[in-house]
Amino acid sequence: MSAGALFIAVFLACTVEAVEATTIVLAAGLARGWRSAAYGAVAAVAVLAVVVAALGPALTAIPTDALRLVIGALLLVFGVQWLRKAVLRAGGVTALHDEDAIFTRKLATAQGAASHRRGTVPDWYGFTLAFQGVLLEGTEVAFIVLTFGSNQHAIPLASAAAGAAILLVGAAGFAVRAPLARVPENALKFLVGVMLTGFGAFWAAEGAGARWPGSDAALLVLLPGIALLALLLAVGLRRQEGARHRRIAASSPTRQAS
Amino acid sequence: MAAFVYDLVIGDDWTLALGLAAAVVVTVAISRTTFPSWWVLPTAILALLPLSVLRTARHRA
Repeated sequence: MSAGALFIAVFLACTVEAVEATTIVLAAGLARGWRSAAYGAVAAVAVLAVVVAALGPALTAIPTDALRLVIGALLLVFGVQWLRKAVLRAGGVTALHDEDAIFTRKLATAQGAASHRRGTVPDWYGFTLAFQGVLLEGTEVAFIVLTFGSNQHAIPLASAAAGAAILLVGAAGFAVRAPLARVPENALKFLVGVMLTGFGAFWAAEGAGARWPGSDAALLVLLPGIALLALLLAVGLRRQEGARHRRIAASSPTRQAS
Repeated sequence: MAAFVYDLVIGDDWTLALGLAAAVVVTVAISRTTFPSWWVLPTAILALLPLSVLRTARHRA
């Protein structure tokens, strides 16, 4: 995997998480004040940076095959779960991720909470809301940085890609002071799910001792193959959901008449 | 913390995670023989992802 491909993969995955974290920080900032929200977000980023700095060197000290097997298997399971959710959303089985709706809910909850100062933090609720949001979404960022970075012995590059995504999304969110609903988040989640699944399967198999036909070039078949499978599933589900809705619509007048 | 890690890695469908873990074990086992083993994980994805997705869709219907 080239440095450019690693950067793009981590950047895209972290962009999705950064959009979700930004929505929560914006809700905290608008409802409770920017200072407390900023303190909370910065504190969470600092905690995550310490986690990556502590675990990164430890992971790269593990023999490559064992590391690829464990990290690849974890990434595979994580990636397939991510892809499964993306397929269910794209197929209309579960609701699409809607940043506007999430923002409205978070804002309403934050506006109703009581305010109290703690130390140098003017509003503890705003601090906690931003801290928890960034920490929860950021844990997935740290997981992606550690798995991709340690596998390629390029944790600084993976961290730079994650940092770039966080800075870019954070700056855009702060500039518009509104959730970044125009980011095609559901499409990005689909793409990231394909990447996590593909790289996870590739590294886990290599770590297990398998030799891919064509070596790294196998990824050029594996990734489009997984994308095609996911797309076919989404299209199939959408048709199934459409047929189900039509059946319900057709049967409701009969029920009313009887 | 344990619940968070479980949700992060295992997610909503533990049978999917278990199936994939079993596929990794099978890959390790076959790799110790002279047979090729690269096909196990793609096959597992091809089988398990549709099963999980369709099962969830049926439950929600």
